Amino acid sequence: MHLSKLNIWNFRKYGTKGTGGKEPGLSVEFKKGLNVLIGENDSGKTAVIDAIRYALNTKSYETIHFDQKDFFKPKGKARTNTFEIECIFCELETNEAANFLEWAHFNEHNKYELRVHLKATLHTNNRITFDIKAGPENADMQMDGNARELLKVTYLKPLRDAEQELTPGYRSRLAQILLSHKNFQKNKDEKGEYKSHEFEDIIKEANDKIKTELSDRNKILIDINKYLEKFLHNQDERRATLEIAPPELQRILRSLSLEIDENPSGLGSLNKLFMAAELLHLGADQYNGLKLCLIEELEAHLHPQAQLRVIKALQNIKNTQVILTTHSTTLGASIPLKHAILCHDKEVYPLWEGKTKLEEQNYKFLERFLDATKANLFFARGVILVEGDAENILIPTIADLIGKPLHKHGVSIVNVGSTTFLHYAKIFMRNDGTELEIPVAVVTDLDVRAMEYYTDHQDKKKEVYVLTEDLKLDKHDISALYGNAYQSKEEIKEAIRSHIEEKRLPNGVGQAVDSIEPQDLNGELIENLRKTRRKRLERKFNDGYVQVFCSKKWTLEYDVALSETLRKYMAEAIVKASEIKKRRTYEVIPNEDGLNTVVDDICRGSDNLKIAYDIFKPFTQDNAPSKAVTAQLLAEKLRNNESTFVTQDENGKETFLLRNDEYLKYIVDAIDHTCDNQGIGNE
Amino acid sequence: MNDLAFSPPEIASVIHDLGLPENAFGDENSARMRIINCWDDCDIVACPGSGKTTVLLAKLLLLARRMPFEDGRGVCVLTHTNVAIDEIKYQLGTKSDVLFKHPNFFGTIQSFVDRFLSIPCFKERYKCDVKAIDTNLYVQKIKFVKYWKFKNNRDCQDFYINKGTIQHYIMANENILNELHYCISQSDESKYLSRTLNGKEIDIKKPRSQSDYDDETKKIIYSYLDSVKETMHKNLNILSYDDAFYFADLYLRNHSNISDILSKRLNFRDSQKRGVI
Repeated sequence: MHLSKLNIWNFRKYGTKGTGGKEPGLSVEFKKGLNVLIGENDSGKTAVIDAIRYALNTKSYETIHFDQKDFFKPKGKARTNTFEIECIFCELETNEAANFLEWAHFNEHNKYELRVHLKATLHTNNRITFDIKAGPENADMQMDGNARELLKVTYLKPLRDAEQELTPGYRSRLAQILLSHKNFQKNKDEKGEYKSHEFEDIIKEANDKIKTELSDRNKILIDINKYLEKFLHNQDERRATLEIAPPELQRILRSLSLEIDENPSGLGSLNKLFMAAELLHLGADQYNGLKLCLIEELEAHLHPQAQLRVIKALQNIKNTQVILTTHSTTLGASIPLKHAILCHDKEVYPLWEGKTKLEEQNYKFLERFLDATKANLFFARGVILVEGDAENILIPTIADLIGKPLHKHGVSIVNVGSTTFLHYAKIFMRNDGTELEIPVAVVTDLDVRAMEYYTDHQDKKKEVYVLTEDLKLDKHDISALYGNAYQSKEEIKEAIRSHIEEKRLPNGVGQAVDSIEPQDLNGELIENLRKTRRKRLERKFNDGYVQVFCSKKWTLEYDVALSETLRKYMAEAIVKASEIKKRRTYEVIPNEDGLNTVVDDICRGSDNLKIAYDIFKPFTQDNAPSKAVTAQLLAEKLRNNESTFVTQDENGKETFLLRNDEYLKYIVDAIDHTCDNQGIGNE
Repeated sequence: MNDLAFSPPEIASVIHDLGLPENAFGDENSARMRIINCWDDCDIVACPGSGKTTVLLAKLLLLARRMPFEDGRGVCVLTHTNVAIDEIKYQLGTKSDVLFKHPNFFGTIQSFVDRFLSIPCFKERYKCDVKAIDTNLYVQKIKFVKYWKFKNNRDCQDFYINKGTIQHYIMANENILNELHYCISQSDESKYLSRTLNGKEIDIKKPRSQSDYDDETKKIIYSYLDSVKETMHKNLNILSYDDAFYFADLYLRNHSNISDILSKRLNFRDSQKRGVI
């Protein structure tokens, strides 16, 4: 039996949906085992956890205290006066079902399920009443206390002050945890009366010993009582005693303290200790009860390594459903994606099979390569996926220079380090009819070399294949592909497969493609190749809020070199970077004059394509300069010349020069896409 | 359940609490002690006043003190009448509270069937709660439903037109509306109307006449009867006691695993061995 669905109406920031407010403001699905709610602050993670524990109560008897603020307040309208929480459990084993016979029902798929429903009402005098019922909709009824007991959850609250909670005293959390443990339940004797707990006997015995010690040998008590007697009324027969603790179980437990070390430990260790204590309940669970554990902010006070150990340990707890919230990138990177639920803008998006367009191979890939630096995509309001360090360094600079600082817009750049964007992009492509309103920009190079490259490198193959009307398919129309140029026969085959949406080519088509004669490259065909390549990328990536942005011609560096405003900065950066590479040190930079002459030499002339290629040339040769270093130098240069790119008129209105650059347009567009298309958010 | 064997002090304490003489149950081998310590199915047959109920009470009290059981199972006590339940409640007083709480069941056969089978089935079918399971109320209310069905609206057009014929039929067949039962056909599990529980399908005949209704009229009368009964359930949510058994039967047929779940909770045994003490 596990919690399979949670529905919330008018609770905290979640209102209702649909006409007449019938639909829940939030509906979350959970799966067996581990569920990780991941997302930025205020994305509603805590509301989900609180809703569950309000409806089901916790094993350590957290006091539930509803607040006026738990009732949703629509903007500009009065606070709603009821909220509802609905929990649905499914896959009840026979022995579990037996406990809930009176309330469980068969759903429309003829599966036995249990629905628990909490409704709280806010009265005019701010009094709040609530009742919890179970049963099918419209026919639910009060649940027996003993049955409700079986539905209690284990709850680990975010620990703000571990020391306080674990030290002995009236507020001792430890006592609360222990008291509800099976081993501290009192047993009945043969007359059906409660027997005293062994602890109580031990303390009683100790008290007696101390009493004898103090009164018989030390006479202390006798002395105290001597004075006391004088102070008291004649008929007052009370006398003082000295005790460790009164022999009542609860008082004894409150005086216990849990320690890991004789010296005071750090908050982290205390926290781990505390978690271990809380998890006691899971092991000592009642026979047929619900095994559900809620953990809020697992990462609190724990360093990344410790977080990993804790999450691994949690994954190994058998037969228990764990629902935890986190905003740690370490956890984001280490939990299996199939167990993650992304929280964004009052909505939740499970990332498991069937919910996104991720397939088995994508899950496998992401398991290998999604690390903590990339996991910040879970917490972003917009994501730019880039293929290398150069974009990673340059894009924030460009964003600043067009007046859209990324951090202000909550946009993360994720450096994929290769062109395997699709795996990451699919995280954001939904397959369950919902729309994840996180704009994702895939920024990539078009990667079609310039003609000059082939003139320069005579040994490179200069062949290109053009698909013509000669190739016809029986059942499919591929006229959209006619006239497209491809760099290899394989590319043609792939294009056809993707166009007809089949995994295999129809019979005979493979041979037909193989017989296409190659043509010699020329400028026109290269543009054709670029057009085809661009279409292919768009077809592959564009989906909902995911969009691809690719350079116009070849790579970022080549394209910037084509730009008349930016080419000299790029030329300078590349020359410097080459120099650094050659001398293997960052310190030796050629004097400004010498550098300028080299740069001027390269940039001279009127043939744009030739100049661009000359600037870019070092990258095509052996011992090529580092693209990252080049990007860094370029970024520095751009920032130093900020006044050139950002100008203000007398009204303080800013004009951004980089916006007009046709070769940088794809990056500007990517930034605009991620910064401007963020969901409407807090209406 | 064998670890439940009761110790002599426990039994002595219960005997004391029930206000019985100290050696009321005799020695270990007496018939009463054998009942107390018997964990197999058994029928207890004895003459009135011989103390069957008292032994049962003692046994229940012994069990109540051991509750809750580790595996979450409960005890089910079924009686024929409410009188027997009141008697047990009176005898056990507050000590018996636990027996009336989850996961135990203590009540008449009718209330057991209602609670675990009929009501869940009704809820599943009509998506709402049962208002009452009470034949008296059922008979009272059906009088009104009888007339509603002659309204000239689209749903009841046929009945409206044949009002005379139908009224004539129900006048002649006294009490027919009160006695209508839904039954489930053994052959194809379909639903039909009968005058007795699990009886034969009603045969509609023109009263006091040589000639019979034509088939069309028979069909209309039948569907009128059916519609009245359906309205009692669907709109008024009132069931007769026998209706409850029809729904219980339906529930068991539709969901074969229910009986397994029930026996997990209330420890029924399906054993063929039965001893008579």
